[in-house]
This record gives sequence, C-alpha cells and structure tokens, in this order.
Amino acid sequence: MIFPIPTLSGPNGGPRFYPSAKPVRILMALMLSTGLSALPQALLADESTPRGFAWPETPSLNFYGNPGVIDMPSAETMPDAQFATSVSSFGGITRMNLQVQALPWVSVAFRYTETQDRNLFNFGDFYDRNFDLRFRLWQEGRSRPAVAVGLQDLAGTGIYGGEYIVATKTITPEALPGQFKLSAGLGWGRLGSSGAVATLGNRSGFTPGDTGGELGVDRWFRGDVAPFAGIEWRHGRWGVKAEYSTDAYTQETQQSNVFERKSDFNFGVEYQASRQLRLGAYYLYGSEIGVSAQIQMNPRHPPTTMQVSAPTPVVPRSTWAQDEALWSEAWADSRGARVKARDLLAEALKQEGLILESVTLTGTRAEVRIRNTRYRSVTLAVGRAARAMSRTLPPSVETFRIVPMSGGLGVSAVELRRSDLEALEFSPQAGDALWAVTAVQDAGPVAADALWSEELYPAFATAISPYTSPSYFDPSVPFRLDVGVDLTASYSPAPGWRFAGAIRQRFLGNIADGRASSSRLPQVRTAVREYAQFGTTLNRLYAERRWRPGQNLYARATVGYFENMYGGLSGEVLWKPVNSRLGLGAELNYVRQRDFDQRLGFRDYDVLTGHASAYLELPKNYLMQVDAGRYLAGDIGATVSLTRTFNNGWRLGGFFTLTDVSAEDFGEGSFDKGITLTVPLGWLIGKPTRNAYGLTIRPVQRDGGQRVHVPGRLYGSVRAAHRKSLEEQRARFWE
Amino acid sequence: MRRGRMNGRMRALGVVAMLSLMAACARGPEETPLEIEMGQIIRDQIRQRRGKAAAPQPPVLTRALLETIEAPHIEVVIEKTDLRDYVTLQLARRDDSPGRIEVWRTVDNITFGFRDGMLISIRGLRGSLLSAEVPADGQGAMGPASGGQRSYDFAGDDNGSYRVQLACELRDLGPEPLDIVEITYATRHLQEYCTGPEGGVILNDYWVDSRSGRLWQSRQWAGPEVGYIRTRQVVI
Repeated sequence: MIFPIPTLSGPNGGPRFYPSAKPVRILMALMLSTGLSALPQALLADESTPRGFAWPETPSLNFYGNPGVIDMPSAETMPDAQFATSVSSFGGITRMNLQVQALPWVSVAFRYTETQDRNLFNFGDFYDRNFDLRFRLWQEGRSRPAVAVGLQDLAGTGIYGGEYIVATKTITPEALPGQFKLSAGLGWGRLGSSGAVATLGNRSGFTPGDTGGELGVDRWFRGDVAPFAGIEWRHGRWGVKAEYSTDAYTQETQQSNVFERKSDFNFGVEYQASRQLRLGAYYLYGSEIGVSAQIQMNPRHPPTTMQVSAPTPVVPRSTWAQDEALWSEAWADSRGARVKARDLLAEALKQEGLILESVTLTGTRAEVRIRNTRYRSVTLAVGRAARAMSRTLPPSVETFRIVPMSGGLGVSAVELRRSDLEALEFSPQAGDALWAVTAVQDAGPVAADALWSEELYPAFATAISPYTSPSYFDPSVPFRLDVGVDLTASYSPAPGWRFAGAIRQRFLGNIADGRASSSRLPQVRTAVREYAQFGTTLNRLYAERRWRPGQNLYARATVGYFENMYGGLSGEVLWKPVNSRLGLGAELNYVRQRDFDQRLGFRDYDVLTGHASAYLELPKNYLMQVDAGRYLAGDIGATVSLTRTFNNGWRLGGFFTLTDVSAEDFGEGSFDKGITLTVPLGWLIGKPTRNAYGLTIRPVQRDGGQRVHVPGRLYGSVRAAHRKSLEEQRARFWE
Repeated sequence: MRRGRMNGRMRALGVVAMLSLMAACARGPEETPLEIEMGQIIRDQIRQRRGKAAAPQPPVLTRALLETIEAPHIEVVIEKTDLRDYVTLQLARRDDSPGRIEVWRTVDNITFGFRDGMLISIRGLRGSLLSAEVPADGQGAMGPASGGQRSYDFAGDDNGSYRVQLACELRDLGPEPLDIVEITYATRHLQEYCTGPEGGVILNDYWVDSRSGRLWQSRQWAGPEVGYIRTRQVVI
C-alpha cells in the first residue's frame, strides 16, 4: 500500500524534495552576455544553493574586462578556465569584453568597443575589435606581491594598444573590516600616455588604410613609460575602488572631442549582486559617470547542480534466479525468446530515456546498441543501459557489450561482466571499481543475427522550432539578427541512412539591411546581405550515408544542399582508434554556390574544396586541430584551432587560417581568425540534455580561408564516446 | 512616429518569439532542438511557479493512520530545505561487504541507499552521493560499529566526482527513550563525531533499538550540497 497523500510535489510531478533553482534567468543572462539575444534580464543565480565543490574566489574586473581597478589593471588572476563577460561605459566609450583564463597563468581577451563621435578615418562613431594577452609571472606570497604582465590590443590598429607590468598585494588589517588590494605598475602605450617618467625607444603608430591583423611587436613596451596605482577595498558584497590613471585619452580628448579629461583620478563602488554578477558605478577623470556589469562563470561550477532522476538499482540474480533451471542457455535458441528479451529491454531502456537500436543475443553474451538523445555524458547512458540489461536479460547472459551509436554508427563498445555490476553497485568508490574491470573497444560491425528494433526504423522525426541567426560587426551596426521558424524533418530508412531538410521562414530581422560587401576574392562568404533578402528559404536538404569501412575507420558521404550558401557532394573518412588521442581525417567536397533565393537553383561559382585533418587530444583537455587543404575561394592553406574542452560540454577555443591569399587581397584583418564558444544547456539548467549554445565570432568576416558547413561531420560525435571521454566521466556510470 | 513604429515592431517581435516558443514542438527519435527545449523549460518554470501555492502538504502522522499502512516506510527530512517525504523500500540485498543494503525510493524517483542504516548513496537530488565507505559490521545491530576513517564520493567537478574523507570517533551517548508517533522505544544513542581535513565537524546520530538492534531514527550528513538528512522508521 502506498502512503496516503504524502506528496510534496507540484501538479507536474516535478522534484518534490528540492526547491527549483532559477535557470531561466541564468539562461537569459547568458544569451545576453554572448550576444545571442537582447533579452534584458539580469543574472541573478540562486546563491543560497549550497555548493559541494567550493566556488573559487575571483577578482573584480576593470573597464577592459581584465582583473583590475577601474581603467587600470591589477596583477590578480582569475581561477583557471574562468569565463568573464563584462560591459563598461563612460563618456561615450563602451567596451564589451570577453575574457578567458585559458591556463592558470595565461588569459586571453576579446573586446568590442564603441566610441561615440570619434570621427577616426571619418567613421563618426568608431567601432573596434581587439585582443589582449595576459601572463601571471608569479603568484602572491606571504610578503611577495603577485606580478602580471599584459599586452592590451596587441594587434591591428592598436587603438587601445598598451602594455603593462603590475604588482598587487592583498592586505587584511586586523583593525579594519574587509580586505585591501594595492596595485602599482608601469604602463606603456595608452597606459603610459599621461605622467610619463621615462621613454624607452620609439613607438610606431598604426598606418591608416593598412589591412591590420598583424601583431604590433614593434610597438610593445616602447615609448613613454608611466607609473600607475590603484586600491580596492572589499567587504562582503561591496567594493570601493580608487586609482591614479596614466591614460591621457589623447585620441578621445585632443584629437577629437569624445569627453573632457579633468583629473587623473577615478573612483568607484561595486556590488556583487549574485555569485556571477557584479555591478559598478564610477566617477572617472573628474568629469564622467561610468557604469559596468561583470558576469563571471566557470565551466567547472555550474550555476545549477545537475539533477538526474534516480536509476533503478541492479537486482542480483542470486536473489531472483535461485532455481537452477532459470540459468539454462536454451532460451537463446528460440527466436521468439530473443525477440521477447529485445522488447523487454527496449522498454527498460525507454524508461531511462534511451533508444534501443539493436541487440545481439547468445546464451551468455549480449551486445546492445543504443541511441542516446538525452544525456550528454555517454558514460551515464552506458551505465543506465547496463542496469536495464541486468534487470531484463535472462540470467545466463554474463557478458554485456554496450555500443553507443551516433548517426547509425557504432562508435565504441563498453564491455563488462554482469557479476561485476551486481557486486560493485554499493561498494565504496563504485565508479573507479567498476571502471577497473571494464573494457573499451572498437564497436566493430553489427552481427548478422542482430535483432533490430522494429519500432525505430524507418525513423521519422520532425520539429518546428524558432531560430535566431546573428551577424556580427557590420561597420555600421555591431550586431544584426534574423529570427524566424525552422521546419525540420528527417527520415532514416535504415541505420546509417538519413534524409534531412529544413525550411526556414524569417519573421523579422535586419541582416538584409546590412552593407553590401566588396572583395577581391570570389564572394564565397561575404554575400550575407544578398542571401538575407529572402524570407522563405530551403535552408538544407540532403541525403547522408554513414558507415564503418573497417576497424577504427568511420566514413560519411553526403549529397544535397548542405547549408544556406552551398550544395553539392561531400565525402569524409576518419581514422580514430577508441584508445588513441590522435585522430586523422580527410574530407573532399565538390560544392556550388546556391542561388540567393535559396531554393533549388545554383549560381555560377563552383569549387573543389577539401582538407586533411589531424585531431589531437592534449593534456588539460585541450583539443588541437589542424586542417590543411583548399578553401572555398580556391585558396590553399591551413587552419589551426586550439579548444579547451570540458566533459560537461563547455568549449572555449580560438582558430586562425593562413592561406596563399595575400593580406591585401584578403582585406581587413589580413587573415581569417576567430573564437568559438559552446555553452551546454544542461550546465545552465541542471537537467540532462544534449543541447548547447554554440557561437563562432570572427572580428571580420571575409572570403579567404572559408570552409563549407557540411552537416554531420564525424569527429565530434566519435570522440565523445571514446575511451578518454568515457573514462574521465566514470563516476557518472552509477549516477 | 518612428518611435511608435519601433515599439510596435519590438512588440511584434516579442509576440512572435513567445508564440514560436510556445508552439514549437518536436517528435521522433532525434535530439530535440535547443529552442524547443528552452521553450519547455520556460513553460515548466511558469507552471511550477503557479503550482507552488497549491503544493500538497505532508500528512500529520498519527498512530491510527500508521496502523492502516502495510508497506515499510521511513520518513526522510532534508533539514536545509525543511522538506519531508515518506519513502518506500525499493531494494534490500547484501553484497561482499558486511551489512544489509537498503534502497528507499520516493514516488518521484529520488533514492536513498543505506548500509546497516548508514547512508551510502543518494540519487535524483542535486548533489548525488555516489558511494560511501561506512563502518558496518553486519553483526546484527544497525548503525556504526566502530570509529575510524569515513570516505564519501560525491558527483561534482567536470562530470566527475570528488571525495570527502573524515576521521570519525564513535561515541555512545547511552540509553535514550525515543518517541515515534505515540510509541516509545528503548534505544541507545550512538554518535559519530567526525572531523574533516579543514577542521570542520560533522555529527552523525543514530538511535538504535536496545534489544533488536534496529535503527529507529538517525540524523546523518549527506554531503556539502544536501546537508543533513533525518530519518525515522515510521512503518516497519
């Protein structure tokens, strides 16, 4: 009998044991901070929620998004992998900053700035993108201060170009409440433009009309040097800051009239509104009021801890199959019995949110192929599948082989013994204990006598979903956006085959109003405006075949309309052994540029493009990828990308492409480069989901070094189910 | 004029966005698109907020009520959030280590695992206790058999786990009559006094029946995220 009405849950049967966090607010704030949407919601995460894995102490940021005072930097370092977005504004100068602590001692920043009425190069309001690099030389000790050196706006026009070396010491006097942080340093360039005490060599300026993009090595640490200083007092949620600034704002106050600089001193007050959000108000240069908002996140510290519905525990066979006769293997000779076992298993997997693709049964062994559309962690999905097998398969089955599938391909095989499952579920350190007796192998081909799920194939899926399509850094408007609805459908008649398409209907947007672009190269990517003129489009329509040509090999062939700009033929082969950190791939595409109206027609431009790729998993979860080959404009060269990945789905990375196109022909920026960011939805909301926000930002979109976007590239889905990833998440097997 | 048009446009944008989030749907064995999942989350939030006021209250326990119930139940209270629930036995078994394992489950699929009454697992709550080493001797009486080192593994870090190790001292606080819904049991109050590596103190309290060795009531630490939980055996 069930206990009468002891339910604490809401009508939807949601978790009744715990108050809900506030994922939506965090979601919106992230969208805001990553520029995905302009939803004006502040970030107010639930900081009353206790944290098991202690949250790191983090420094406050300055107007450049660097750890620092107000306009001047400090030597503090953010915790490893910290991801900080901030916006600051004063006197008509707005800076949007994105700072990432790439290594414990290195951080990189990307910044987008707007200066009103700057009138530089006759642009009126002036927009600029810049990159920073910062190194920690040493950490703070008992009596020794922390020291950092930084290169601000280190390449291209160098509007904000400045270098510094700075020291910071934290002091906690017993007589006073709170904590003081004293910083002092030397600045060059912009940071040495006021109150200089010495001059080191000659600092060259940026040549107007140059394409930019090159490192300003000849400028670094040259010219006037000036000492700056600042102090921060922090007590609880509040902080008070004061500094002596050495930025003369020559360009803004003397060469143009952006604001008036009356003083060298700046003052500010900051308030930590939530674990992630810090707000500040300031009085700068004796004349201007300034504000800032800083959002800091760390991939290792989700705003909402993951909550996964409890699994059904393993019931040892010794408790329910005591009769000797139950252990007979005879059942496996009967097709009817095997089909029954398959259906029971499919049902049990469904309860765990998994889909059975096929099962191969013998008297003592079972191989189950599963499709996982719910959990990001493949290990967790494998653990759930193992438990489902343990409670449905006849007792004689002792060896379990679980094959996670992706696009109809078996990506790896996790083999374990049923007795180990039964023995170890409640043992101390159960995750490590089980992993020690688990093998990861190549999935291999499906057995001829495999029983395929009759429910699954032919598989048909449809979705109607809204979409947003952003476009960045048009010279007149920094951010453009189209929104509308996608109608997508896919049909999979058999494993490995897939027909898919999407029809897109735009409702609103301003990408179509963008500036027409000019290029010395074929306009392979800059015709964005032309493609945005049409409201109803066939976004993609293609047929795909994936197969395993041999051990450790994966292959894909795709034909059709791949993306809004290109269609054609594409083939890819990937070599990636399950236990190897190295993967090698090759892709060859023949593509034609699609008509601007994005229906079935093509334009005149066609190209044979393809790449040889090497993927290497480095320590600290860095992923290095090198692609060498021919790009869309017919240019030949290579792309290098370095991405810091996390098992929870976070990815932070940067890439650059060098091809035989000259800087002059390439145009602004000289070569293609950018940053990529992926934030998993599950990390934000604390529920299992495989979705994520992905974002690629290029300072300038040009035509050199561009690749076609073919759906279903192999490496990503293959890597997630290979040994390194499975093993690192072994704790989740039993979750 | 222009402003009016802009406002109208923004409003239209908002309406379209809301409508498409609401109307969005997906079917079939493929991953749900991000936008649809977001719509679901927003809808759930709204529903939860509305449902909060009408949330059912836990029953007031009387012996007469408990007499009508046959299946074993324990009461679990999470102190930090002051939430109470009555859970049923999902699994009882033994493995190679001493002590009887019991898994108790709520209707909405949260489970608590115990070995001889000592918490060894939590699933379905934020902050899973993945596994724990407990001083069970399997000699009859439930509760801790000795002091020594305790070790817990919690879900955390980057899809991994972290371990908390405590040094515990077992204290016998003597006989204590324990009242559970109008019945008084003769129990012995045992306490684990545990210190963490950074000097924090964790207390686990157990009220064990003086004759049968059954654990009637406990207050145990369930990790930094969940905090302390209290259990009471209300129906055997």
